[in-house]
Amino acid sequence: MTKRTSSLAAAIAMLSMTLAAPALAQRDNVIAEARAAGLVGEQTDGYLGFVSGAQISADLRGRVEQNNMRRRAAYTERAAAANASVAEIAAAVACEVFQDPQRLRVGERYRDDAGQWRQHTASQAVNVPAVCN
Amino acid sequence: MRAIQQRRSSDGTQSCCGLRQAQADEDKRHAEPVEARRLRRDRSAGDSNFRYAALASALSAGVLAAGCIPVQIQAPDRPIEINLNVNIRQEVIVRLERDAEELLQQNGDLF
Repeated sequence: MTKRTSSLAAAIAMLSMTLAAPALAQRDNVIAEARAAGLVGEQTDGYLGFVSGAQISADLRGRVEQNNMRRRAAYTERAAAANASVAEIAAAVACEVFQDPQRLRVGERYRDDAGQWRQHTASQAVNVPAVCN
Repeated sequence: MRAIQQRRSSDGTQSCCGLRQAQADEDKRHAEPVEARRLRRDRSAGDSNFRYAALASALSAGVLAAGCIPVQIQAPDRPIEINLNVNIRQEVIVRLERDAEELLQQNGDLF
């Protein structure tokens, strides 16, 4: 009985590891720092963008563009499965990101529907894209 | 021969008479006081206004009889189309919510 529960617990642990591992292990710290510093931010189109006026290093630019390409690949794959367009999937993901304070954290910048860069502050709610409501 | 002559002469007098008449009219117009001329113009303008009004009323009656239905359709047509687009977009987003959540879980490192 104890062996069985322990093996079950181990299996659950393994499963949760495999699910959580890519999310934690591969996150780009350079991009995370740039987000915190307000150099890059989430956009309503489902991609990362460079905040207007920010000084972007070549390294950061390359990382963000690669990140966006991987996002696009994920959107494209999912769009085909969900019988939707890439832009629609991307917008749906942006809705989730904009409404999740773990993904669009306080202090980070984001680009709203109107193309305006804003900062997520503790006192002010995020301007969520109109299609999300 | 006499008849021809007569006709000629009558033609001549007619044309001459016409010319004279026109000349006389011209003279009269020149002689006419400015006030009277303006009065006459006003009256003719009033006549033409009346004619336009009658024409416009006839036209509008025709439009009312025939053109009312397309005008009524055109007015609400636009907002309905826009609303439909918005609804479709929102419906798509709602439909894709689960897909978006799964995608975020599987590609958490990208967000």
